[in-house]
Amino acid sequence: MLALLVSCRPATPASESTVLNTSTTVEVTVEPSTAMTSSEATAEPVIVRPLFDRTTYPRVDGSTATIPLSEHIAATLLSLSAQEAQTFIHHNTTHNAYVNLIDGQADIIFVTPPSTEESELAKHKGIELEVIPVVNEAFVFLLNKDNPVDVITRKQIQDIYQGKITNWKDIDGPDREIIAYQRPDNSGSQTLMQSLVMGDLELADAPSELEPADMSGLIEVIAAYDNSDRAIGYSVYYYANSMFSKETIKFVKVDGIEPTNETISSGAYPYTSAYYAVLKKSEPADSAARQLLAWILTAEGQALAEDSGYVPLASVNP
Amino acid sequence: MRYGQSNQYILALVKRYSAQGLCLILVLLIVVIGTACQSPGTSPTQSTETVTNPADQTSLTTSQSLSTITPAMSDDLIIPDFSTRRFLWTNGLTIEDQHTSTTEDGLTVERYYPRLNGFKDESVEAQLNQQIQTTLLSLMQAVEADFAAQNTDPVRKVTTKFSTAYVAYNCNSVLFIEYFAFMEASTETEMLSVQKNMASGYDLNTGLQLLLKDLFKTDSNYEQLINEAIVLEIMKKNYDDPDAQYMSKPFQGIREGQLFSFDLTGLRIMIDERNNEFIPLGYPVTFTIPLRSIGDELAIFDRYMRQGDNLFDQPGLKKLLLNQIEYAVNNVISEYEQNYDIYIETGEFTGIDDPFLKTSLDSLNAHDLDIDGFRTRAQAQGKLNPDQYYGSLIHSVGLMMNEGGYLSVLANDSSREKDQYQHDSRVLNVNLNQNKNMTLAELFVQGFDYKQALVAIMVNSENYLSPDGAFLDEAALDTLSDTQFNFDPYGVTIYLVFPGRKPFESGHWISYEQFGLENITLFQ
Repeated sequence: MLALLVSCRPATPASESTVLNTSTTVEVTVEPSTAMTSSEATAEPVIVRPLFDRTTYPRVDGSTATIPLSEHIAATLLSLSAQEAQTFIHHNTTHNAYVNLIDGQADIIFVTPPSTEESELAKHKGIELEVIPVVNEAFVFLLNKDNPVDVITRKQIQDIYQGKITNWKDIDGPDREIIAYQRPDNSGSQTLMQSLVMGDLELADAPSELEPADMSGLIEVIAAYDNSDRAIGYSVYYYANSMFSKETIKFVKVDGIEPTNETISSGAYPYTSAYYAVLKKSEPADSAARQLLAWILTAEGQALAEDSGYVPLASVNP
Repeated sequence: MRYGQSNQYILALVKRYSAQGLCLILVLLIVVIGTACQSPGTSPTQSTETVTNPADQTSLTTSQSLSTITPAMSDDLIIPDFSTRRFLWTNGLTIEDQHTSTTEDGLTVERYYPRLNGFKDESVEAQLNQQIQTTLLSLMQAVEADFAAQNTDPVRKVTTKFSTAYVAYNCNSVLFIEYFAFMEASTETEMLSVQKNMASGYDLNTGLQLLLKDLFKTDSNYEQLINEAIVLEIMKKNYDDPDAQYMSKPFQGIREGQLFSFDLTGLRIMIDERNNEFIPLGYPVTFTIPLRSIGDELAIFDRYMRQGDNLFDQPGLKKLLLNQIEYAVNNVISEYEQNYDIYIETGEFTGIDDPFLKTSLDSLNAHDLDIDGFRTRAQAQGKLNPDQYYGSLIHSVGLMMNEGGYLSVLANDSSREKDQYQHDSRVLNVNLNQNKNMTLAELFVQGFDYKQALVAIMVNSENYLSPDGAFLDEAALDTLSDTQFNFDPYGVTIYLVFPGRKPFESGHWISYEQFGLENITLFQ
């Protein structure tokens, strides 16, 4: 776990800090009237909120989906308004963020795990990456609210998407064809579907439809979830949880577990993933990037993440 | 009458902060104009009107204070089911496309906008025309301000600057105008462009702007309806993908004062800066909610419509609405090889209750082209003579007219193998309002000599020639068939038979305007 810093001395001016050469730590939790015993002196140290300014703040990059997290963190730690944080933080999307990190243009990035290509790039440059989860994510399945089916097992989901189960009646639903909608190939959702849900199993051909092509004629495209009473589809929890009114679309309870912040944090919900902080392993222990990461993993940091619409990690440092 | 439309229109986002001043101006205008529209010296009166909706011959009783600006409450209106609605009434306006060019620092700046004519109340007409000008100017100024804020390179020279406004919807005493402004500058290596769009809807009884809620019935949960439609569109476009670059956070729902427009395709929600979950793309993002999805929730077609007290100098014409019938292509065989081509398109007609009509339509969808045989022969020929073109095989179904309770369908089958050419077309024209097939004569009002009109239009006209390139004579028009024709929302296609030519080889399209719109039954 994380190293925690404890100061047994009264708070010292920033200039007397012995920790950093680019930023200053400030004690957050203070019980000035309590004398510390020797046993307390060896207890888990308390993470302090790093004190940055705009020039000492680590260079942050990341995916589109982690922009609100980045902005909220920067706003909190730099005392920025929401608009100032939007101007201050620039995420260049997942792959570009990895390139910037590897090339030394970024200190810490908030992304999904590295792809094979990104791992190879880092290896080629002699860079070892450190990948640490900072918030949870989950993969959720969607049904029309009027579909009486609520619970689907993992095996049944796999069978549906392999084309082995084709009628809702086969899983205690109405006698109606299942339309198992998918996402475009190479999209993030489709990648998660394959890795988290299907594993080595092959997805059946996706339902398709014909759309006018750019120039002329018609082209076949992956049909999109239409929330009909025959449909099942999927999305990621981060987007889906807040978007749907739940009056027309519901989440499938996979193995009887409904995806909620609690079940995802605890790991009870089976299809969980995460967004990660990625740094170079060679990043110094006392660097701004390490301090930022350490703080994100505190209760305060995780509360901020949850406030930003993300699912916090199961266990955090105080 | 047809309403003019600017040739160039592109929708763009209006940045909230730069539109705030615009909104203030518009609010002030509305207050001033609202006061001006009241006749001086009259006291507010309460009147009860019986309004007959000409589209459906349904009597609507409204209670409306003549001095108020509040639209009639929809619980006073009898609004028919949307599925039964066949047409609307265009407003009796003349819309003239205006274009101005000015020069700024050597750059030609274009402005396109409509000028409205034909209001009985000239003050409303003047007010709206002025508002169009003001809105367009303000939008361009907002673009200029944004551009100035973003353009940090003094070397970058402005290369394009224009603004447009056009009429998106003009029916049942409601008008929607859409606005767009664009500015672009470039150096040898890079380019900066700023574009904004917006839209305004007006109640033509008063000239006042409509809010989103004004389009819907009083008890409609329209916000939820719109949000859910947008969420499905987000999923359809994969904007909610973790690797996509469209949304930084989940859709937060439409905002108060959300920009929107409306036309006969549906309600268009225009994303702006307040919808900050969407990553700015540099071009407009809109979500269109089809009329079919929200039709039964709408009050816009009835709330502002008045009969017996026409707002305009001229009467309106019918504006036909899409039928409930759809034709969806669900299978395409498309092979474009070196020596042959196959294009076979088949689909399904849906939304048809009448089994006889369904059978008739499905028969058009069917074909007896020997696809496998043709392909085998073509491929064999290709092996022997790869450079020699073998032929083509085509089947398609076109739904030419699908509005206002009218259907016109054309199915084409053709095969060309070496020197053998075969072509067969089948048509079906139906008046769903009368549940019968339709003849060419029934396209025109009784008493109108359409045959003579065709002679006047087509004979010795350079616009209508025989397959050999010769002028048509009256004898050619003798081959006119009362059943072998097609029509669409804008004109009619007739098929003449020429010596040595197959039927349907020679089709000629004539616009309704050439006959006079008053002679076309579709608009009466």
